[in-house]
Amino acid sequence: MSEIEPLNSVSQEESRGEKGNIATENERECSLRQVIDKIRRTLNLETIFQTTVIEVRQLLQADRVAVYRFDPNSDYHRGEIVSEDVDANFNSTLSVPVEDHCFAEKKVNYYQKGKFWIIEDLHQSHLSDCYSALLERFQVQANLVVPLLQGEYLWGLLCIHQCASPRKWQESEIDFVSKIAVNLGIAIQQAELLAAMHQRSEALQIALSQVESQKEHLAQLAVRERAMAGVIERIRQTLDLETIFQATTQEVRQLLQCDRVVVYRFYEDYSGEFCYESLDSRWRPLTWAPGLKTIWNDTYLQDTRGGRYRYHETFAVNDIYQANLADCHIAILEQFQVKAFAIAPVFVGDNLWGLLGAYQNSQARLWQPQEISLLAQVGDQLGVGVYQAQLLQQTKEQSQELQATLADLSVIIDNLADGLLVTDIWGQITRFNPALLTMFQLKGADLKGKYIEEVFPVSLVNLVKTSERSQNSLVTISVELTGNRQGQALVTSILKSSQGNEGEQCLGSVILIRDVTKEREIDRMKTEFLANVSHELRTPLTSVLGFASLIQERLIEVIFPALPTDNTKLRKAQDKINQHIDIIVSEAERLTALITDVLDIAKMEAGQLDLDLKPTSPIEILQRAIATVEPQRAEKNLTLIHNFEADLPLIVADENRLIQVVINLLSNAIKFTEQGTIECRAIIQKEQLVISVQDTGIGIASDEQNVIFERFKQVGNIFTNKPKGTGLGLPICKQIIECHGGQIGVESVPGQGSTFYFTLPISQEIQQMYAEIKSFNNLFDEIK
Amino acid sequence: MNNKIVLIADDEPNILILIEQALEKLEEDYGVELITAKNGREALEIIRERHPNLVFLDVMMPQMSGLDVCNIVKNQLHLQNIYIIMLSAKGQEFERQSGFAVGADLYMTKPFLPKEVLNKSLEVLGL
Repeated sequence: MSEIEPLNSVSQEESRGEKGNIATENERECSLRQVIDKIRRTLNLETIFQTTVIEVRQLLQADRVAVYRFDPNSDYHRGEIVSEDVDANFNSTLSVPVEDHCFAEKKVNYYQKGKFWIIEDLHQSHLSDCYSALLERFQVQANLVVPLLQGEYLWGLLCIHQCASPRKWQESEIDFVSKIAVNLGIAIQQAELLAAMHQRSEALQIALSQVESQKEHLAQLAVRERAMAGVIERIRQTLDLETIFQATTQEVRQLLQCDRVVVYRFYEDYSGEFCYESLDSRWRPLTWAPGLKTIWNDTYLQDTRGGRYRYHETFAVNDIYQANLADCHIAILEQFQVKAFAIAPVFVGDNLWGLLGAYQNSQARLWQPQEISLLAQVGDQLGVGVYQAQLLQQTKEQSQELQATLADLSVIIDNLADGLLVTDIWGQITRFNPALLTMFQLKGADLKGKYIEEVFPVSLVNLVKTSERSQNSLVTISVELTGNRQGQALVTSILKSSQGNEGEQCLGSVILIRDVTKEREIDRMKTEFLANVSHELRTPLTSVLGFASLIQERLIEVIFPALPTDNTKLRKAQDKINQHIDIIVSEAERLTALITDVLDIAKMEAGQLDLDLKPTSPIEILQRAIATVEPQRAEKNLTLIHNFEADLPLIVADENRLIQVVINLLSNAIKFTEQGTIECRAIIQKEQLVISVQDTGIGIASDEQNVIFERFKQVGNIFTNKPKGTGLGLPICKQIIECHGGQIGVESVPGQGSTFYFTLPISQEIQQMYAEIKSFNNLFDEIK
Repeated sequence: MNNKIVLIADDEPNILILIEQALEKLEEDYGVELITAKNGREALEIIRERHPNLVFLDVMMPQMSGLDVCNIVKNQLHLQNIYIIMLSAKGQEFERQSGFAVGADLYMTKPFLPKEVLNKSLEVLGL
């Protein structure tokens, strides 16, 4: 410990002892400034140290001046001379590693406090062995060591050695060295700071370069994205498959800089063909012309139904000879001049449609992941494009088919012999045909968009309206055509069953008009003929009926009374004659009825039924009919119930014809009912008068319910259940009711009974009156 | 004695006989004179000369139809007190209408029963 003395105390004492040597001191001051100046002129530590050691050795005439630096990681146990200037007679200690464990344990603290170590004569100082060994290694005789402090951190030591002889260090020298050391410390700190700055700047540089490279990567990505977008855009620009293939293969080949890009399409059996390619002109084409394409029956893909591609996988081979490919595979690839390839699947919907392939023919190629992913993406987009193109193709085909059908239908409609007229629900004409124009002498007119009432007779307009009201059913009417011709118009509503639960929607009406002039003429002749026949039949019938009843009369009044009464045989014969004449009369009457009915129906069907239309009371009609069938009812002892709504309005009708209808329905009910009741009802329902006759008779099977309104049909087996009548009653009723604008029908359950009903329209004026009367009656009742 | 006269006009001889037979009672019981005519012209002549109280006129007759005869009698000769019954085999509504239009008092459709003819005649003649 004693060899180390506090710097201050030593220097102060010694400086006092050396006061005389001022000139030297001034020189030294000057030198000191010069050295410090040099130190400050540079920031390079090495230069600083070098300058310092040379200058200091020169100034102090020392044998060695060195800068010792502690290994910062050794906790002061190791270090080395990092800069040295030494007299040529002595050893250089530069870069010699120093292991100094004594120092670490004993001296660090002192130096850290700024103390010096001054030895004037090594041999006279009692140093521990470890020190003396070290100093001897350096050939040191006298020693002046000052710390180099970087702030509080002991960075190293500045060592002044006298090797030739011991030396007494002057205070001014010590002062000088200490100042140098302080300046070195500052320089070291600055240098370290600078180094740190450098380091940081380097780190920044690195970071910067990383950012740059990332930026570049992003830029590359962006370029790829743009390229990709370009391909997609070109695929989307068209729906033409050829163009899509061309764009795709071209763009991909350009992007990947490869020799050939192909679109390969699978057949159903997973063989396939190259259907499009883009290739460098150096290579043999795989597609020569449409229809002349290379087919590649890849048995592997056939067996595996598309192999890996089924699972949306791509396949890239950098070198076909290094990829363990089957020999046959390589052989085909060689045929196609391929050295490296990358394949991506093309899916249309969920189906593997084909492949998009990129080939390198010139040499093997290391495919980059982003290149493969680009290929896969383009493959996906190609699938979308193909899908859309197929869809378009389908739509085109369908529309062509529709066009053809439409043209077909148009031709049919235009060539119909019947006139056709289609209107929408507002009565605007949407379609018509030439035949219609001819019928109404409208040749050349364009009816489209016109309202039906602008062009056609009222009867037709009303017919359309009626049809719209009573959807589902066909409505027919006679119309006057031009040129004194007769037409029969048939109207059907166009009904569209809607998707929801709204039922059917009426879109308009179809009117078919047939020229029935000829048919009408034939009908007229038929009716005339029938009328004549009927006339011819009636006259002899009159005789049969008349004379039969005259005979009966004479027999009863003149002959029979004159006969003897005691002869039983004679009496029996009289009874028989009576009976037989009765039969002749009743059969003649039946024959008369039949003739009347036949004539009626013939006239009705020819549209020649003359109705005597007058405002009529329905109640009166019903009561007169009921009165007529009363004997028939009484005979069978059936109950007839009347059920008539109060205040029934008047109807416009042919009274006698309606009575005929009601009689018919009532007598049928009585005829087919053995026991029970018959109910006759009259009500107002949906602006119509509904009259019905319900019985508890044998009823009618459902398949026969429509037939009974046809001519000469009667329900039941005529042999087992022989009904009486002509079989014309209901058909006549139907004609009469339809001529009144109403409808007739039946509801029946076999074995339980039947309900026959008919409807009659109530004219609007009468309806209004009826409503007023009702409200008046209600008012009247209230007042009462 | 102012005997009543009934004229029966029809081109069908059987119908003439039938009606004559049906009205036999009139002749026998009430002394009514029954005259027959085989066509319209004959009927019109008899009507002009004899002024019958009741005429049965068939619609369809040769030379002159029953309707024409009726028209002349009612609208030209103005013989309103002659009761005319039209007889028709057709029985159609428009015929009935045209019959009334020319002034016929009744319209009967063939076939008819002799009793109806008799009863109607008795009623018309007030017997």
